[in-house]
Amino acid sequence: MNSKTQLDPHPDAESLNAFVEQAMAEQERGRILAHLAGCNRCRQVVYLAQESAAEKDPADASAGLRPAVRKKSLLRNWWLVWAPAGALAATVSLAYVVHLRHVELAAEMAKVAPQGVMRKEGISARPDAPALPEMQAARSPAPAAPAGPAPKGLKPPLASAASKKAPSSAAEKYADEAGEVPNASHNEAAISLRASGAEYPAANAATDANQEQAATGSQIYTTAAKAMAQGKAKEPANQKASGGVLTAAASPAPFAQNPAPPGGFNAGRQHEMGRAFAVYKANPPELPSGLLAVSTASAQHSTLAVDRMGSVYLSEDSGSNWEIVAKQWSGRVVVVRVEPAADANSGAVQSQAPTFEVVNDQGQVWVSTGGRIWNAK
Amino acid sequence: MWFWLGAFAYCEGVGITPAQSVDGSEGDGVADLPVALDGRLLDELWKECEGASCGLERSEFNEILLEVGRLQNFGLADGAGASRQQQAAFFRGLRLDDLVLARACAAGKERAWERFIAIFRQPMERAAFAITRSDSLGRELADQLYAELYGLTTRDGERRCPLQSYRGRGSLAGWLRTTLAQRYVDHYRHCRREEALEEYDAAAPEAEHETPASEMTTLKKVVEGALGGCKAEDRFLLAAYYLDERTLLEIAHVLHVHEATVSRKLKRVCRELRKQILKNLQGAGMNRRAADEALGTDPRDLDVNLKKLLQYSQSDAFQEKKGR
Repeated sequence: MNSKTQLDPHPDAESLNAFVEQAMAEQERGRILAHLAGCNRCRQVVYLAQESAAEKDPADASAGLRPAVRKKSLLRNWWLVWAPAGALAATVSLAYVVHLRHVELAAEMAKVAPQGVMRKEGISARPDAPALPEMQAARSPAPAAPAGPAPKGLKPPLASAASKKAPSSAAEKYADEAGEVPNASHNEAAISLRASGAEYPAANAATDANQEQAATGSQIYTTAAKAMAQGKAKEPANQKASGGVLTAAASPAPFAQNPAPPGGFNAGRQHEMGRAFAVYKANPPELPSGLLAVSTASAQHSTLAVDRMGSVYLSEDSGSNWEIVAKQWSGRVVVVRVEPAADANSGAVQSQAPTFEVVNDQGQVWVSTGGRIWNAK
Repeated sequence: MWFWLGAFAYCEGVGITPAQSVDGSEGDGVADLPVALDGRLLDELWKECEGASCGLERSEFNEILLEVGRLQNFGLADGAGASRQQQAAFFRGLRLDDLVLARACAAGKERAWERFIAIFRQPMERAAFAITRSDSLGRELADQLYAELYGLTTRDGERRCPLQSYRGRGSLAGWLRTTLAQRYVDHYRHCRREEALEEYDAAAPEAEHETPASEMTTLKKVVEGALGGCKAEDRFLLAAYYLDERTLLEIAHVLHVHEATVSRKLKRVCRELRKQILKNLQGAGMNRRAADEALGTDPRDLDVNLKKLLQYSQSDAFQEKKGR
């Protein structure tokens, strides 16, 4: 290294450093600048000193050179934070609302899904699937419309359904005692409620049961819900309501025309049913035509369904087997329903065959008792 | 009453005792070179610089300040007399803590050296690494400067310390970096001339130039005149950008302006140079069309040494003031 001191007329380190750090008067600065313009050696010294200062402490160098620019960029970055934060908050809120709605709809679906559909879903979803053939076999010889006190044998399966304990043993008991069950659809409803996996709160179920027991014919649902809620074998008063009807319509317009299906739902739950039907519409029963039902109506053992092409099908075993009904009306049927009973609100048991109605696409109505012979209304 | 109180406070603020006059009777406040600083001002500066922590005496501090003030004429132009206010302002603008530390080290104060090593040893090494881009070279450069600062170099039997030349205008760290850069550039320029002969590739002899045409001669003179008339800052910009090939950002850092400003200035300088050359060509007897054609001449055909022109036109060698 050459350590000789400067004898040439170059500015010394003090002056060059003062020039770099802007610590000299304007006049002297001009003199240094004039020298730098013509002196390659001093320009190199200044460049190297500047580079070493920048590499030594880049934060200090930038602060010394452009403090205003750095402050401005910090302020701008601060405001930019709000955009992603707001988007994140909106996304989280939306996800939470969607989740809440999904949970509510699932609970309503479990309550109002028609027996056939729910049973199909229950078969695939229930954990005690091997016991299903026994249950089907036991269900078939069930009497059509027994009246009087419900058998005690109904209690354990329903209680177990509510508590969701020992499902296979409960199914066996149910199969053994099925002969005493007055109406297989009762048990089907209860089982489908259990099998669908819907966790209906016990307190809510009890409240619903009390309300619907006072209304009309949602005996099936009432029985199941009450049993689930109370978990005991007290015979429901509506257990003998073998003529209980559960009606479901896939089209919202006919449902609006018939806001209170007999024995279906009480008036206080109409608004909730609308949402439930939206869910049910996604899982309608499949008919022999290969099409899904757009409207169904059930009363006693009979279930009437219409597909998208307007064909009407009748099932007398709660949806297991379907037969087509000969066309006796004009136009295309869009809705089937159960004719409102005159004494529906009284809660009295109806022993005669159910009366169905079909509505075509022009709004005309035909009536049938039993679902086979139809007359214009 | 309030006027006199305000005047008293002002005088006290700039370090003038009521006994000293600042009226025009002393040449608009211009004072002779002081023998000793005012007591209050000296106290204030002494407390600020913490000179006692470096092992320095108050009287030594006084002498250092006076010497620095004399050397730089208190920051004023040559021959200008500094008033006491200007002297006080000059002293307050100095990096007193760095100045005291450097002078105490130069005087061989042990406590000052301990403090110097604690503060500047590592920054010096980092700066040397950054300058040389080499670990070994950087360490060697830093060690050599450190030894030199410590006073191992003697001249005429006297110990010489470069820290004695530090006058407190910039920071001591910056002074050290600049000194390192000077040493490195000098070393590089010295060693470049000591290349081995086998690595020396002799350039081919230049072809004989044809006798330049009269237009070429005129153009050469005009270009030299235009470059010679540029201002110092413009020539610095041209040299830094076109000769040193520095980026706009690097030039901007040196001049403490934005790089867009450098770009704008460069464009302006080039535009004015072209305009000036055209004007001079027309002044030399060319018409406008011939001047435009002359500007389109291949620069390689023009026997003009731009480096020489930029570096020596109107730039006298930097003459430091006597006594500095």
